[in-house]
Amino acid sequence: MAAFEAEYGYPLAPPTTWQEFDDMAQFFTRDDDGDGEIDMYGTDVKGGVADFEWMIAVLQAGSPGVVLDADHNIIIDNEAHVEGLSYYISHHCDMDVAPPNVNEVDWGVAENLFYQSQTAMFRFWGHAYRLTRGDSPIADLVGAAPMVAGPGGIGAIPGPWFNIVPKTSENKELALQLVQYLYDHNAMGIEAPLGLAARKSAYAQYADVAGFENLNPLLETLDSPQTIGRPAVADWQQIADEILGPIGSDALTCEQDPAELLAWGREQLEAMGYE
Amino acid sequence: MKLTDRSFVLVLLLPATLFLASFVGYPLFLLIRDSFHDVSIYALGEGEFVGWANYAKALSSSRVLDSAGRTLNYTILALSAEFVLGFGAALLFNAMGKRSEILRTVFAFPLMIPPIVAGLLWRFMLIDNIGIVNHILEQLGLIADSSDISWLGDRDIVLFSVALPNIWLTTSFVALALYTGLQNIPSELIEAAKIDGASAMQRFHRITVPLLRPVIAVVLILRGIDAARAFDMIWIQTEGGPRFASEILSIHIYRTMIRYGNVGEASAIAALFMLGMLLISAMVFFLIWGRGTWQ
Repeated sequence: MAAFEAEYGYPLAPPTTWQEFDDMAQFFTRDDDGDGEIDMYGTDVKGGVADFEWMIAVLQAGSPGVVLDADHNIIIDNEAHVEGLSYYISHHCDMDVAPPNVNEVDWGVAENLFYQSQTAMFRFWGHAYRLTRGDSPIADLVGAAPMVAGPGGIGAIPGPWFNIVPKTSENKELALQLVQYLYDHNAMGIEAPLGLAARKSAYAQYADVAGFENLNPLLETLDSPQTIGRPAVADWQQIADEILGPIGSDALTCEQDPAELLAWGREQLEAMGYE
Repeated sequence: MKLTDRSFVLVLLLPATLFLASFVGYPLFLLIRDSFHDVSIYALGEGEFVGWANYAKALSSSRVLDSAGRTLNYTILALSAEFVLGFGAALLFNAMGKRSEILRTVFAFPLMIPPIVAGLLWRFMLIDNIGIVNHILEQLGLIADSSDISWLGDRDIVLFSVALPNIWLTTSFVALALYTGLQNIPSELIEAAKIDGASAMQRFHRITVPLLRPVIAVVLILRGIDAARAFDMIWIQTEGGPRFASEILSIHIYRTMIRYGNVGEASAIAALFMLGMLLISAMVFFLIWGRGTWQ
Protein backbone atom coordinates (compact mmCIF):
# COMPACT_ATOMS: atom_id res chain seq x y z
CA MET A 1 0.00 0.00 0.00
CA ALA A 2 2.86 2.26 -0.86
CA ALA A 3 0.50 4.11 -3.19
CA PHE A 4 -1.46 5.41 -0.22
CA GLU A 5 1.67 6.56 1.61
CA ALA A 6 2.97 8.22 -1.54
CA GLU A 7 -0.28 10.14 -1.92
CA TYR A 8 -1.09 11.02 1.69
CA GLY A 9 2.31 11.00 3.37
CA TYR A 10 1.71 8.37 6.05
CA PRO A 11 1.41 4.58 6.01
CA LEU A 12 -1.93 2.90 5.51
CA ALA A 13 -3.33 1.59 8.79
CA PRO A 14 -6.81 1.47 10.33
CA PRO A 15 -7.99 5.11 10.55
CA THR A 16 -8.05 6.70 13.98
CA THR A 17 -9.23 10.24 13.16
CA TRP A 18 -11.77 11.91 10.90
CA GLN A 19 -8.95 13.14 8.67
CA GLU A 20 -7.44 9.65 8.27
CA PHE A 21 -10.86 8.15 7.68
CA ASP A 22 -11.58 10.74 4.98
CA ASP A 23 -8.17 10.17 3.32
CA MET A 24 -8.73 6.43 3.19
CA ALA A 25 -12.34 6.76 2.05
CA GLN A 26 -11.14 8.89 -0.86
CA PHE A 27 -8.24 6.56 -1.60
CA PHE A 28 -10.45 3.48 -1.80
CA THR A 29 -13.18 5.13 -3.88
CA ARG A 30 -12.05 3.93 -7.26
CA ASP A 31 -12.95 2.89 -10.76
CA ASP A 32 -10.81 -0.23 -11.07
CA ASP A 33 -11.72 -1.24 -14.62
CA GLY A 34 -11.71 2.26 -16.10
CA ASP A 35 -15.30 2.14 -17.39
CA GLY A 36 -16.18 5.43 -15.78
CA GLU A 37 -18.15 3.83 -12.96
CA ILE A 38 -17.05 3.56 -9.37
CA ASP A 39 -16.41 -0.10 -8.52
CA MET A 40 -15.72 0.41 -4.85
CA TYR A 41 -16.58 3.25 -2.51
CA GLY A 42 -14.52 4.21 0.53
CA THR A 43 -17.44 3.93 2.93
CA ASP A 44 -21.21 4.27 3.17
CA VAL A 45 -23.60 6.90 4.43
CA LYS A 46 -26.58 5.21 6.03
CA GLY A 47 -29.36 7.64 5.18
CA GLY A 48 -31.88 4.87 5.84
CA VAL A 49 -31.10 5.19 9.55
CA ALA A 50 -30.74 8.95 9.48
CA ASP A 51 -32.51 9.14 12.85
CA PHE A 52 -29.43 7.65 14.48
CA GLU A 53 -26.28 7.57 12.41
CA TRP A 54 -25.35 11.27 12.39
CA MET A 55 -25.48 11.54 16.17
CA ILE A 56 -22.35 9.42 16.47
CA ALA A 57 -20.42 12.15 14.68
CA VAL A 58 -21.95 14.66 17.12
CA LEU A 59 -20.32 12.83 20.03
CA GLN A 60 -17.03 12.56 18.13
CA ALA A 61 -17.23 16.34 17.65
CA GLY A 62 -17.24 16.70 21.44
CA SER A 63 -20.89 17.23 22.42
CA PRO A 64 -21.69 16.35 26.06
CA GLY A 65 -24.60 14.27 24.78
CA VAL A 66 -26.96 13.91 21.88
CA VAL A 67 -30.03 16.12 21.53
CA LEU A 68 -30.43 16.61 25.31
CA ASP A 69 -27.79 16.95 28.02
CA ALA A 70 -27.67 14.94 31.24
CA ASP A 71 -30.36 17.19 32.76
CA HIS A 72 -32.52 16.83 29.64
CA ASN A 73 -31.94 20.39 28.48
CA ILE A 74 -31.91 20.94 24.71
CA ILE A 75 -28.43 20.91 23.16
CA ILE A 76 -29.44 19.84 19.65
CA ASP A 77 -28.23 23.13 18.18
CA ASN A 78 -24.83 23.36 19.92
CA GLU A 79 -21.64 23.67 17.85
CA ALA A 80 -20.78 19.99 18.08
CA HIS A 81 -24.18 19.02 16.63
CA VAL A 82 -23.62 21.36 13.70
CA GLU A 83 -20.08 20.05 13.20
CA GLY A 84 -21.16 16.39 13.56
CA LEU A 85 -24.09 16.70 11.16
CA SER A 86 -21.90 18.55 8.65
CA TYR A 87 -19.28 15.81 8.89
CA TYR A 88 -21.88 13.05 8.51
CA ILE A 89 -23.19 14.48 5.24
CA SER A 90 -19.75 15.45 3.90
CA HIS A 91 -18.98 11.90 2.68
CA HIS A 92 -22.04 12.15 0.46
CA CYS A 93 -22.33 15.87 -0.29
CA ASP A 94 -18.70 16.94 -0.58
CA MET A 95 -16.41 13.94 -0.99
CA ASP A 96 -18.60 11.50 -2.97
CA VAL A 97 -16.95 8.56 -1.21
CA ALA A 98 -20.21 6.69 -0.53
CA PRO A 99 -22.80 5.02 -2.80
CA PRO A 100 -24.93 7.98 -3.92
CA ASN A 101 -28.48 6.92 -3.13
CA VAL A 102 -27.97 7.21 0.57
CA ASN A 103 -31.65 7.09 1.54
CA GLU A 104 -31.77 3.42 0.60
CA VAL A 105 -28.80 2.46 2.72
CA ASP A 106 -29.81 1.15 6.12
CA TRP A 107 -28.08 -1.44 8.31
CA GLY A 108 -28.91 -4.37 6.05
CA VAL A 109 -27.92 -2.65 2.82
CA ALA A 110 -24.72 -1.33 4.42
CA GLU A 111 -23.81 -4.90 5.34
CA ASN A 112 -24.57 -6.12 1.83
CA LEU A 113 -22.46 -3.38 0.26
CA PHE A 114 -19.53 -4.21 2.52
CA TYR A 115 -19.75 -7.99 2.20
CA GLN A 116 -20.04 -7.64 -1.60
CA SER A 117 -16.86 -5.57 -1.55
CA GLN A 118 -18.61 -2.42 -2.76
CA THR A 119 -17.43 -0.42 0.25
CA ALA A 120 -13.95 -0.58 1.75
CA MET A 121 -14.81 0.52 5.29
CA PHE A 122 -18.03 0.54 7.21
CA ARG A 123 -18.85 1.83 10.65
CA PHE A 124 -21.13 -0.66 12.24
CA TRP A 125 -22.15 -2.36 15.44
CA GLY A 126 -19.22 -4.23 17.00
CA HIS A 127 -20.64 -7.69 16.44
CA ALA A 128 -20.64 -7.35 12.63
CA TYR A 129 -17.04 -8.55 12.46
CA ARG A 130 -18.09 -12.10 13.27
CA LEU A 131 -21.01 -11.99 10.84
CA THR A 132 -18.83 -11.86 7.71
CA ARG A 133 -20.22 -14.61 5.53
CA GLY A 134 -17.94 -17.41 4.42
CA ASP A 135 -18.88 -16.98 0.75
CA SER A 136 -18.17 -13.25 0.76
CA PRO A 137 -15.32 -12.14 -1.52
CA ILE A 138 -13.82 -10.41 1.51
CA ALA A 139 -14.10 -13.34 3.94
CA ASP A 140 -10.85 -13.56 5.97
CA LEU A 141 -9.92 -10.03 4.87
CA VAL A 142 -11.97 -8.15 7.44
CA GLY A 143 -10.43 -6.32 10.39
CA ALA A 144 -11.94 -4.32 13.21
CA ALA A 145 -10.77 -1.05 14.75
CA PRO A 146 -12.07 1.32 17.43
CA MET A 147 -14.53 3.93 16.18
CA VAL A 148 -12.72 6.90 14.65
CA ALA A 149 -12.10 10.00 16.73
CA GLY A 150 -13.29 13.47 15.87
CA PRO A 151 -12.10 16.67 17.56
CA GLY A 152 -13.71 15.42 20.78
CA GLY A 153 -12.18 11.94 20.69
CA ILE A 154 -13.46 8.45 19.97
CA GLY A 155 -17.22 8.45 20.24
CA ALA A 156 -20.09 6.05 19.71
CA ILE A 157 -23.57 5.35 20.94
CA PRO A 158 -23.97 1.99 22.65
CA GLY A 159 -27.04 0.01 21.71
CA PRO A 160 -28.37 -1.07 25.08
CA TRP A 161 -30.74 -3.98 25.45
CA PHE A 162 -33.68 -3.43 27.71
CA ASN A 163 -35.57 -6.04 29.63
CA ILE A 164 -38.77 -4.36 30.70
CA VAL A 165 -41.11 -5.60 33.40
CA PRO A 166 -44.43 -3.85 32.75
CA LYS A 167 -46.15 -2.19 35.68
CA THR A 168 -49.26 -4.23 34.91
CA SER A 169 -47.41 -7.56 34.79
CA GLU A 170 -48.87 -10.22 37.07
CA ASN A 171 -45.61 -12.11 37.58
CA LYS A 172 -43.15 -9.36 38.35
CA GLU A 173 -41.11 -11.55 40.68
CA LEU A 174 -40.52 -14.21 38.04
CA ALA A 175 -39.69 -11.56 35.45
CA LEU A 176 -37.14 -9.98 37.77
CA GLN A 177 -35.56 -13.38 38.34
CA LEU A 178 -35.18 -13.77 34.58
CA VAL A 179 -33.61 -10.30 34.27
CA GLN A 180 -31.19 -11.17 37.09
CA TYR A 181 -30.26 -14.42 35.30
CA LEU A 182 -29.65 -12.59 32.03
CA TYR A 183 -27.46 -10.10 33.87
CA ASP A 184 -25.43 -12.75 35.66
CA HIS A 185 -24.92 -14.93 32.58
CA ASN A 186 -24.59 -12.15 30.04
CA ALA A 187 -21.48 -13.62 28.40
CA MET A 188 -23.60 -16.48 27.02
CA GLY A 189 -24.85 -14.02 24.42
CA ILE A 190 -21.41 -13.64 22.87
CA GLU A 191 -21.39 -17.18 21.54
CA ALA A 192 -24.98 -16.92 20.36
CA PRO A 193 -25.48 -16.36 16.58
CA LEU A 194 -25.54 -12.55 16.81
CA GLY A 195 -22.65 -12.45 19.29
CA LEU A 196 -24.17 -9.73 21.44
CA ALA A 197 -23.81 -8.96 25.12
CA ALA A 198 -24.83 -5.96 27.21
CA ARG A 199 -21.98 -5.80 29.76
CA LYS A 200 -18.35 -4.85 29.26
CA SER A 201 -17.31 -7.59 31.69
CA ALA A 202 -18.90 -10.14 29.35
CA TYR A 203 -16.90 -8.84 26.38
CA ALA A 204 -13.71 -8.76 28.47
CA GLN A 205 -14.02 -12.51 29.06
CA TYR A 206 -13.72 -13.16 25.32
CA ALA A 207 -11.45 -10.27 24.32
CA ASP A 208 -8.33 -12.37 23.87
CA VAL A 209 -9.98 -15.46 22.39
CA ALA A 210 -9.09 -16.19 18.74
CA GLY A 211 -11.97 -15.22 16.43
CA PHE A 212 -13.12 -12.38 18.71
CA GLU A 213 -10.59 -9.77 17.51
CA ASN A 214 -13.41 -7.21 17.38
CA LEU A 215 -13.85 -7.14 21.14
CA ASN A 216 -10.75 -5.18 22.20
CA PRO A 217 -11.52 -2.35 19.72
CA LEU A 218 -15.12 -2.51 20.93
CA LEU A 219 -14.04 -2.21 24.57
CA GLU A 220 -11.74 0.69 23.72
CA THR A 221 -14.66 2.45 22.03
CA LEU A 222 -16.98 1.76 24.94
CA ASP A 223 -14.39 3.09 27.42
CA SER A 224 -14.03 6.43 25.63
CA PRO A 225 -15.58 9.38 27.53
CA GLN A 226 -17.34 10.44 24.34
CA THR A 227 -19.21 7.14 24.08
CA ILE A 228 -22.52 8.22 25.52
CA GLY A 229 -25.94 6.56 25.44
CA ARG A 230 -29.09 8.15 24.15
CA PRO A 231 -30.96 10.36 26.66
CA ALA A 232 -33.15 8.29 28.95
CA VAL A 233 -36.44 10.01 28.17
CA ALA A 234 -39.75 8.22 27.65
CA ASP A 235 -40.43 9.89 24.31
CA TRP A 236 -37.02 9.20 22.79
CA GLN A 237 -38.42 7.12 19.95
CA GLN A 238 -40.76 9.95 19.01
CA ILE A 239 -37.82 12.39 19.03
CA ALA A 240 -35.83 10.02 16.83
CA ASP A 241 -38.62 9.39 14.31
CA GLU A 242 -40.18 12.84 14.17
CA ILE A 243 -37.15 15.09 14.57
CA LEU A 244 -33.79 13.35 14.10
CA GLY A 245 -34.80 11.30 11.05
CA PRO A 246 -36.15 14.33 9.15
CA ILE A 247 -33.07 16.39 10.08
CA GLY A 248 -30.74 13.65 8.81
CA SER A 249 -32.80 13.09 5.65
CA ASP A 250 -33.07 16.78 4.85
CA ALA A 251 -29.36 17.35 5.47
CA LEU A 252 -28.55 14.54 3.03
CA THR A 253 -30.29 16.41 0.25
CA CYS A 254 -27.15 18.64 0.44
CA GLU A 255 -29.39 21.65 -0.09
CA GLN A 256 -30.16 22.64 3.48
CA ASP A 257 -27.98 24.29 6.06
CA PRO A 258 -27.26 21.93 9.02
CA ALA A 259 -27.44 24.81 11.51
CA GLU A 260 -30.91 25.80 10.27
CA LEU A 261 -32.12 22.22 10.41
CA LEU A 262 -30.89 21.89 13.98
CA ALA A 263 -32.58 25.17 14.92
CA TRP A 264 -35.80 23.62 13.58
CA GLY A 265 -35.05 20.60 15.78
CA ARG A 266 -34.89 22.88 18.84
CA GLU A 267 -38.31 24.32 17.98
CA GLN A 268 -39.78 20.84 17.72
CA LEU A 269 -38.27 19.79 21.05
CA GLU A 270 -39.62 22.93 22.69
CA ALA A 271 -43.05 22.08 21.31
CA MET A 272 -42.72 18.71 23.03
CA GLY A 273 -42.08 20.47 26.34
CA TYR A 274 -38.26 20.45 26.56
CA GLU A 275 -36.27 23.60 27.36
CA MET B 1 -90.07 -28.53 22.19
CA LYS B 2 -90.62 -27.48 18.65
CA LEU B 3 -88.53 -24.59 17.33
CA THR B 4 -90.17 -21.99 15.18
CA ASP B 5 -88.36 -21.02 11.98
CA ARG B 6 -87.38 -17.73 13.51
CA SER B 7 -85.91 -19.38 16.65
CA PHE B 8 -84.08 -21.91 14.49
CA VAL B 9 -82.45 -19.11 12.54
CA LEU B 10 -81.43 -17.40 15.78
CA VAL B 11 -79.89 -20.62 17.13
CA LEU B 12 -77.91 -21.06 13.92
CA LEU B 13 -76.68 -17.48 14.13
CA LEU B 14 -75.69 -17.73 17.79
CA PRO B 15 -72.17 -19.23 17.39
CA ALA B 16 -71.19 -16.70 14.74
CA THR B 17 -72.69 -13.87 16.83
CA LEU B 18 -70.77 -14.97 19.92
CA PHE B 19 -67.57 -15.26 17.90
CA LEU B 20 -68.00 -11.82 16.36
CA ALA B 21 -68.94 -10.28 19.69
CA SER B 22 -65.81 -11.74 21.36
CA PHE B 23 -63.24 -11.24 18.65
CA VAL B 24 -64.55 -8.20 16.78
CA GLY B 25 -67.02 -6.39 19.04
CA TYR B 26 -64.95 -6.50 22.23
CA PRO B 27 -61.62 -5.35 20.66
CA LEU B 28 -63.56 -2.63 18.88
CA PHE B 29 -65.07 -1.54 22.18
CA LEU B 30 -61.56 -1.41 23.72
CA LEU B 31 -60.30 0.65 20.77
CA ILE B 32 -63.12 3.18 21.10
CA ARG B 33 -62.73 3.31 24.89
CA ASP B 34 -58.96 3.89 24.62
CA SER B 35 -59.52 6.62 22.05
CA PHE B 36 -61.20 8.71 24.77
CA HIS B 37 -58.41 8.14 27.29
CA ASP B 38 -54.78 9.17 27.65
CA VAL B 39 -53.33 5.65 27.72
CA SER B 40 -49.64 4.77 27.72
CA ILE B 41 -48.43 1.47 26.32
CA TYR B 42 -46.57 0.91 29.60
CA ALA B 43 -49.76 1.07 31.63
CA LEU B 44 -52.52 -0.43 29.55
CA GLY B 45 -55.92 -0.46 31.19
CA GLU B 46 -55.10 2.71 33.11
CA GLY B 47 -55.53 6.20 31.77
CA GLU B 48 -57.25 9.48 32.31
CA PHE B 49 -60.49 10.28 30.46
CA VAL B 50 -59.75 13.09 28.01
CA GLY B 51 -63.00 13.30 26.04
CA TRP B 52 -62.54 14.22 22.40
CA ALA B 53 -58.97 15.51 22.92
CA ASN B 54 -57.32 12.61 21.06
CA TYR B 55 -59.67 13.12 18.12
CA ALA B 56 -59.04 16.87 18.08
CA LYS B 57 -55.29 16.25 18.15
CA ALA B 58 -55.53 13.71 15.33
CA LEU B 59 -57.67 15.96 13.14
CA SER B 60 -55.37 18.94 13.64
CA SER B 61 -52.12 17.04 13.16
CA SER B 62 -50.46 17.69 9.81
CA ARG B 63 -48.71 14.32 10.13
CA VAL B 64 -52.07 12.51 10.36
CA LEU B 65 -53.63 14.51 7.53
CA ASP B 66 -50.57 13.98 5.31
CA SER B 67 -50.66 10.24 6.05
CA ALA B 68 -54.37 10.16 5.20
CA GLY B 69 -53.64 11.88 1.88
CA ARG B 70 -50.87 9.41 1.10
CA THR B 71 -53.18 6.52 2.02
CA LEU B 72 -55.70 7.79 -0.50
CA ASN B 73 -53.03 8.28 -3.19
CA TYR B 74 -51.51 4.87 -2.53
CA THR B 75 -54.92 3.17 -2.66
CA ILE B 76 -55.95 4.92 -5.86
CA LEU B 77 -52.58 4.13 -7.46
CA ALA B 78 -52.53 0.46 -6.48
CA LEU B 79 -56.22 -0.10 -7.17
CA SER B 80 -56.17 1.61 -10.59
CA ALA B 81 -53.16 -0.38 -11.75
CA GLU B 82 -54.54 -3.65 -10.41
CA PHE B 83 -57.93 -3.00 -11.94
CA VAL B 84 -56.70 -2.00 -15.39
CA LEU B 85 -54.16 -4.84 -15.58
CA GLY B 86 -56.54 -7.35 -13.96
CA PHE B 87 -59.46 -6.43 -16.22
CA GLY B 88 -57.20 -6.67 -19.27
CA ALA B 89 -55.99 -10.10 -18.21
CA ALA B 90 -59.56 -11.26 -17.45
CA LEU B 91 -60.73 -10.20 -20.92
CA LEU B 92 -57.75 -11.98 -22.43
CA PHE B 93 -58.48 -15.18 -20.50
CA ASN B 94 -62.13 -14.95 -21.49
CA ALA B 95 -61.25 -14.52 -25.15
CA MET B 96 -58.79 -17.43 -25.01
CA GLY B 97 -61.41 -19.75 -23.50
CA LYS B 98 -60.08 -23.13 -22.41
CA ARG B 99 -56.61 -22.36 -23.73
CA SER B 100 -56.10 -19.95 -20.84
CA GLU B 101 -56.09 -22.72 -18.19
CA ILE B 102 -52.31 -22.90 -17.74
CA LEU B 103 -51.95 -19.15 -17.97
CA ARG B 104 -54.56 -18.65 -15.26
CA THR B 105 -52.76 -21.08 -12.98
CA VAL B 106 -49.43 -19.36 -13.51
CA PHE B 107 -51.11 -16.00 -13.02
CA ALA B 108 -52.35 -17.08 -9.60
CA PHE B 109 -48.85 -17.86 -8.28
CA PRO B 110 -48.18 -14.44 -6.70
CA LEU B 111 -51.34 -14.87 -4.60
CA MET B 112 -49.56 -17.60 -2.66
CA ILE B 113 -46.65 -15.38 -1.67
CA PRO B 114 -46.91 -13.78 1.78
CA PRO B 115 -46.96 -9.94 1.52
CA ILE B 116 -43.93 -9.57 3.76
CA VAL B 117 -41.92 -11.83 1.44
CA ALA B 118 -43.13 -9.89 -1.60
CA GLY B 119 -42.10 -6.63 0.04
CA LEU B 120 -38.66 -7.98 0.85
CA LEU B 121 -38.22 -9.40 -2.65
CA TRP B 122 -39.12 -6.09 -4.27
CA ARG B 123 -37.01 -4.15 -1.83
CA PHE B 124 -33.90 -5.98 -2.91
CA MET B 125 -34.92 -5.80 -6.56
CA LEU B 126 -35.44 -2.04 -6.36
CA ILE B 127 -32.40 -1.05 -4.34
CA ASP B 128 -30.47 1.07 -6.77
CA ASN B 129 -26.87 0.01 -6.36
CA ILE B 130 -27.37 -3.72 -5.99
CA GLY B 131 -30.93 -4.28 -7.24
CA ILE B 132 -31.78 -6.17 -10.41
CA VAL B 133 -34.35 -3.62 -11.72
CA ASN B 134 -31.82 -0.84 -12.22
CA HIS B 135 -29.26 -3.36 -13.44
CA ILE B 136 -31.66 -4.48 -16.19
CA LEU B 137 -32.58 -0.89 -17.06
CA GLU B 138 -28.88 -0.11 -17.32
CA GLN B 139 -28.24 -3.15 -19.53
CA LEU B 140 -31.10 -2.09 -21.79
CA GLY B 141 -29.55 1.34 -22.07
CA LEU B 142 -32.58 3.05 -20.52
CA ILE B 143 -30.51 4.54 -17.72
CA ALA B 144 -26.83 5.43 -17.79
CA ASP B 145 -25.94 4.20 -14.34
CA SER B 146 -27.52 1.78 -11.87
CA SER B 147 -27.81 4.58 -9.34
CA ASP B 148 -29.82 6.85 -11.65
CA ILE B 149 -33.23 5.93 -10.25
CA SER B 150 -33.57 5.79 -6.50
CA TRP B 151 -36.83 3.86 -6.34
CA LEU B 152 -37.05 3.70 -2.57
CA GLY B 153 -34.98 6.76 -1.73
CA ASP B 154 -36.57 9.44 -3.91
CA ARG B 155 -39.44 11.13 -2.08
CA ASP B 156 -41.22 11.90 -5.35
CA ILE B 157 -41.56 8.31 -6.54
CA VAL B 158 -41.33 6.20 -3.40
CA LEU B 159 -45.11 5.88 -3.00
CA PHE B 160 -45.29 4.41 -6.49
CA SER B 161 -42.36 2.09 -5.77
CA VAL B 162 -43.86 0.68 -2.57
CA ALA B 163 -47.12 0.06 -4.45
CA LEU B 164 -45.37 -2.19 -6.99
CA PRO B 165 -45.31 -5.36 -4.84
CA ASN B 166 -48.97 -4.79 -3.95
CA ILE B 167 -49.89 -4.53 -7.64
CA TRP B 168 -47.71 -7.51 -8.52
CA LEU B 169 -49.21 -9.61 -5.74
CA THR B 170 -52.90 -8.93 -6.18
CA THR B 171 -53.52 -8.17 -9.85
CA SER B 172 -54.11 -11.89 -10.25
CA PHE B 173 -56.92 -11.80 -7.66
CA VAL B 174 -58.63 -9.00 -9.58
CA ALA B 175 -58.13 -10.84 -12.86
CA LEU B 176 -59.50 -14.15 -11.58
CA ALA B 177 -62.50 -12.54 -9.85
CA LEU B 178 -63.41 -10.55 -12.97
CA TYR B 179 -62.81 -13.60 -15.15
CA THR B 180 -65.34 -15.53 -13.05
CA GLY B 181 -67.78 -12.67 -13.54
CA LEU B 182 -67.19 -12.67 -17.30
CA GLN B 183 -67.87 -16.40 -17.39
CA ASN B 184 -71.31 -15.79 -15.88
CA ILE B 185 -72.44 -13.39 -18.59
CA PRO B 186 -74.97 -15.33 -20.71
CA SER B 187 -73.44 -16.01 -24.12
CA GLU B 188 -76.89 -15.58 -25.75
CA LEU B 189 -76.79 -11.88 -24.93
CA ILE B 190 -73.45 -11.44 -26.63
CA GLU B 191 -74.64 -13.51 -29.60
CA ALA B 192 -77.83 -11.48 -29.91
CA ALA B 193 -75.86 -8.23 -29.80
CA LYS B 194 -73.55 -9.53 -32.52
CA ILE B 195 -76.53 -10.42 -34.71
CA ASP B 196 -77.94 -6.95 -34.09
CA GLY B 197 -74.69 -5.54 -35.44
CA ALA B 198 -73.18 -4.23 -32.18
CA SER B 199 -69.44 -3.59 -32.42
CA ALA B 200 -66.98 -5.10 -29.94
CA MET B 201 -66.75 -1.77 -28.08
CA GLN B 202 -70.55 -1.46 -27.95
CA ARG B 203 -70.86 -5.02 -26.61
CA PHE B 204 -68.23 -4.21 -23.98
CA HIS B 205 -69.91 -0.98 -22.86
CA ARG B 206 -73.54 -2.07 -23.14
CA ILE B 207 -73.36 -5.69 -21.98
CA THR B 208 -70.09 -6.70 -20.35
CA VAL B 209 -69.54 -3.72 -18.03
CA PRO B 210 -73.17 -3.37 -16.80
CA LEU B 211 -73.48 -7.11 -16.09
CA LEU B 212 -70.10 -7.15 -14.37
CA ARG B 213 -71.00 -4.22 -12.14
CA PRO B 214 -71.70 -6.25 -8.95
CA VAL B 215 -68.41 -8.13 -9.36
CA ILE B 216 -66.55 -4.88 -10.04
CA ALA B 217 -68.08 -3.38 -6.87
CA VAL B 218 -66.96 -6.33 -4.76
CA VAL B 219 -63.47 -6.31 -6.26
CA LEU B 220 -63.05 -2.57 -5.79
CA ILE B 221 -64.29 -2.63 -2.20
CA LEU B 222 -62.24 -5.68 -1.18
CA ARG B 223 -59.07 -4.58 -2.89
CA GLY B 224 -59.55 -0.94 -1.92
CA ILE B 225 -59.85 -1.81 1.77
CA ASP B 226 -56.94 -4.20 1.48
CA ALA B 227 -54.70 -1.62 -0.21
CA ALA B 228 -55.67 1.17 2.19
CA ARG B 229 -54.72 -0.90 5.22
CA ALA B 230 -51.41 -2.11 3.75
CA PHE B 231 -48.67 -2.20 6.30
CA ASP B 232 -46.20 -5.07 6.13
CA MET B 233 -45.26 -4.62 2.47
CA ILE B 234 -44.43 -0.94 2.96
CA TRP B 235 -42.83 -1.29 6.36
CA ILE B 236 -40.38 -3.92 5.15
CA GLN B 237 -39.41 -1.73 2.19
CA THR B 238 -39.05 1.76 3.67
CA GLU B 239 -40.54 1.91 7.19
CA GLY B 240 -42.56 4.80 5.79
CA GLY B 241 -39.50 6.81 4.70
CA PRO B 242 -37.67 8.67 3.39
CA ARG B 243 -38.93 11.47 5.60
CA PHE B 244 -42.43 9.94 5.87
CA ALA B 245 -42.87 10.04 2.05
CA SER B 246 -44.29 6.49 2.05
CA GLU B 247 -45.98 6.63 5.44
CA ILE B 248 -49.64 5.75 5.11
CA LEU B 249 -52.13 5.76 7.99
CA SER B 250 -51.56 2.19 9.16
CA ILE B 251 -47.85 2.90 9.53
CA HIS B 252 -48.54 6.14 11.34
CA ILE B 253 -50.92 4.34 13.72
CA TYR B 254 -48.31 1.65 14.39
CA ARG B 255 -45.64 4.28 14.98
CA THR B 256 -47.86 6.25 17.37
CA MET B 257 -49.00 3.19 19.29
CA ILE B 258 -45.96 0.92 19.44
CA ARG B 259 -42.97 3.20 18.97
CA TYR B 260 -44.27 6.28 20.78
CA GLY B 261 -46.49 4.40 23.23
CA ASN B 262 -49.47 6.77 22.78
CA VAL B 263 -52.24 4.19 22.76
CA GLY B 264 -55.06 6.72 23.18
CA GLU B 265 -53.97 8.90 20.28
CA ALA B 266 -53.34 5.89 18.05
CA SER B 267 -56.78 4.49 18.91
CA ALA B 268 -58.43 7.78 17.92
CA ILE B 269 -56.61 7.82 14.57
CA ALA B 270 -57.55 4.16 14.04
CA ALA B 271 -61.21 4.87 14.82
CA LEU B 272 -61.25 7.77 12.35
CA PHE B 273 -59.50 5.59 9.76
CA MET B 274 -62.11 2.89 10.22
CA LEU B 275 -64.94 5.39 9.90
CA GLY B 276 -63.42 6.81 6.72
CA MET B 277 -63.07 3.34 5.22
CA LEU B 278 -66.69 2.51 6.09
CA LEU B 279 -67.93 5.69 4.44
CA ILE B 280 -65.87 5.19 1.29
CA SER B 281 -66.89 1.52 1.06
CA ALA B 282 -70.56 2.44 1.46
CA MET B 283 -70.18 5.09 -1.21
CA VAL B 284 -68.55 2.67 -3.67
CA PHE B 285 -71.17 0.07 -2.83
CA PHE B 286 -74.12 2.35 -3.56
CA LEU B 287 -72.51 4.03 -6.55
CA ILE B 288 -71.63 0.85 -8.39
CA TRP B 289 -73.71 -1.98 -7.05
CA GLY B 290 -76.75 0.04 -6.05
CA ARG B 291 -76.92 1.77 -9.40
CA GLY B 292 -76.80 -1.55 -11.23
CA THR B 293 -79.67 -2.99 -9.18
CA TRP B 294 -81.76 0.11 -9.58
CA GLN B 295 -81.33 0.07 -13.34
